[in-house]
Amino acid sequence: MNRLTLAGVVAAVALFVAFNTFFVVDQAQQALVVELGNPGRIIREPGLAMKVPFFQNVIFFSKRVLVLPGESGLIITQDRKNIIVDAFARYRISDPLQFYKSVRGTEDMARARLTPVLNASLRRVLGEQQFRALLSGERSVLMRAIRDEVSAGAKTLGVEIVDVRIQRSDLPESNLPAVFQRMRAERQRVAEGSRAEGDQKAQEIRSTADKEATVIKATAQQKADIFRGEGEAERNRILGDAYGRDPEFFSFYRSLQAYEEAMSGETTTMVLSPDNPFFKYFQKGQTGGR
Amino acid sequence: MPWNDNKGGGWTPGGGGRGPWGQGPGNGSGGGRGPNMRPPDLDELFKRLNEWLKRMFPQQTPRGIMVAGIGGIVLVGWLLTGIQIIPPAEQGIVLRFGSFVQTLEPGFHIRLPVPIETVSRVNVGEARQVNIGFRASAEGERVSSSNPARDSLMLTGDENIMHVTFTVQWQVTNALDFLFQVEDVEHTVEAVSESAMREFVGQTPVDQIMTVNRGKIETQVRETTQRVLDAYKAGVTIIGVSLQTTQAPQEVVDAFNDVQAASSDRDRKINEAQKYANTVVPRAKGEAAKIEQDADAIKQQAITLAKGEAQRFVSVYDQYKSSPQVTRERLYVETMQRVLSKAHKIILDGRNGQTVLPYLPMQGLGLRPTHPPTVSQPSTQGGAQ
Repeated sequence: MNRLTLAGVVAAVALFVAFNTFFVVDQAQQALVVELGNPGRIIREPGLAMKVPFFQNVIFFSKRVLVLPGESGLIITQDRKNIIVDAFARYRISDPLQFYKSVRGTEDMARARLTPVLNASLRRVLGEQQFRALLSGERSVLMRAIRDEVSAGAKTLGVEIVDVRIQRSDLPESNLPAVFQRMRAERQRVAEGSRAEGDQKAQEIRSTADKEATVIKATAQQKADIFRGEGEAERNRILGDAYGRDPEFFSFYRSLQAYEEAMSGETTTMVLSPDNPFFKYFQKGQTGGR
Repeated sequence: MPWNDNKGGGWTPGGGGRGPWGQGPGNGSGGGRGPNMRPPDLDELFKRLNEWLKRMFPQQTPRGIMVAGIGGIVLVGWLLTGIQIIPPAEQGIVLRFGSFVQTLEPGFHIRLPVPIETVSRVNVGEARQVNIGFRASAEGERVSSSNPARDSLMLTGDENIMHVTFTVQWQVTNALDFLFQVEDVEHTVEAVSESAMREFVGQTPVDQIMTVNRGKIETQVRETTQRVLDAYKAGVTIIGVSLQTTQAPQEVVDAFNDVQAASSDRDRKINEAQKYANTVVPRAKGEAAKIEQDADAIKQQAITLAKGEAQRFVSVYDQYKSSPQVTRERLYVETMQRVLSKAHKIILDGRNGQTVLPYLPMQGLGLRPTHPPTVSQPSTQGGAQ
């Protein structure tokens, strides 16, 4: 029993010492070994590590990219427009020793120190810009500028700023009615423009169609007149050819036709002289000739 | 630490000073066999284990054997914590004393027991979704906003304000990075994608957001978010960004609707005009064809008639040529016969009528009394020459 108790005590002591000697640095961690309050080694690689028991202790720091939430604040741009901007940053503890010295190694402290830096530089960089610049491709340039500026301020904290991003950029609540009014006016303008465009296009289409119809008909009329003229000409040519053989006979023949046509009515009353050549045999009888 | 969990343990027999050894593996076995076991279950387990031990080792059993027995059981339990079963679609990240060793694929694995190696499982097959600007009805999805009506308002490129809501689908593609590179990856995905969305919406005029440029914005947001997360080494892939709603705020929604109405008015007017054009032009073409055909008909008619007339004349003329005098006489006489046979005829001897005005009894001529008779006076000399 005594031996067993002794063994137990020895084992407990050994275990206690072992726990004080060996420590695990997690994959997501880095560690700073502090000897009697003085910072010493930095361990960046994860795994099992050793230290002098009781004289040294270990402080762990995250190796991850950490969140630095921003506060939303009113910013007045260079052209005197108000805008509420809210940004966040991502940072990483790059120098655990510096981090330990400056913010006693706590992330909360680091945030408390970094947030004002972020806000100040947000205000400064955006305050130098025109409002339009925030709503353009320049935004990413501005975000980089803010990041660089915050990085410079964060160096003393042993922190590297990975990224700064503008999350929201909104107009203040009090500006909304004016914006809505402008939007409404713009929409009305668009709607009216759209309707007017409809009228214009419709008118264009109609008048083009009318013009086309008129031209088509006129062209047809032109062709028709040409046809008629051709017909007339051809007729004249044919008749001319025929009648040209003997103009004197034509005159006689055609006159006879005309008499017949003109005096075919039953209402025609003719007063004739007996001298009429038609009657030449009527009087002279058998004598013949004139 | 293990011995903090000793509340429910009934390790009375001989366990006195060996707390850490006794319960360490016990706790470890509980944690290793099933990660879903919770501390209350452990208490229950210890109680049952205690009762079982009492039954196994009655009072008479020497203490040494009992200690050895317990030790053996604990040892086996401890070794069992090395067994890892990775479900499908998951990966296990093995850390040996906190340091990454290996990624386990789905299946059965035997690793070193717990304090030496630990395994963290990550679901890499699952497509995760985050809704930004609206609350999804399905539970378990992350939602960014506590006040969606206001928080989804975004400033557009032409300084309008729109409600924009969207979803981001993402997936873990590098379990190691996902676990150890970035703090709170899910929230980071959300924050970065919202930031990117606001950036690109802020560059796009409102008309394009509502219509043509949706796909472009989605692509830009996806690419930007991916680029930023890659820079953080977040170990995730953005599968897709899809805009859910892009609509005008309540205050101006009627004006936006009117634009839609105006647009369809315009289309309607144009369509009507097009319809008009489609009737007018063909009708004109039809009329034109008729005009042309009519004229052509007249032409053909004139020519045909002329030909006939000419032929007739030529026939007569041919006949005439053979005996001109006779034919001429015959034609004249025949024609006059036809003309005079139909007409009323009065034959007056001009020589007698020189002095006396001849009285023409018009009534007696058979004409209607109401109408004065038309007297045609063909030249008395006609043909007399």
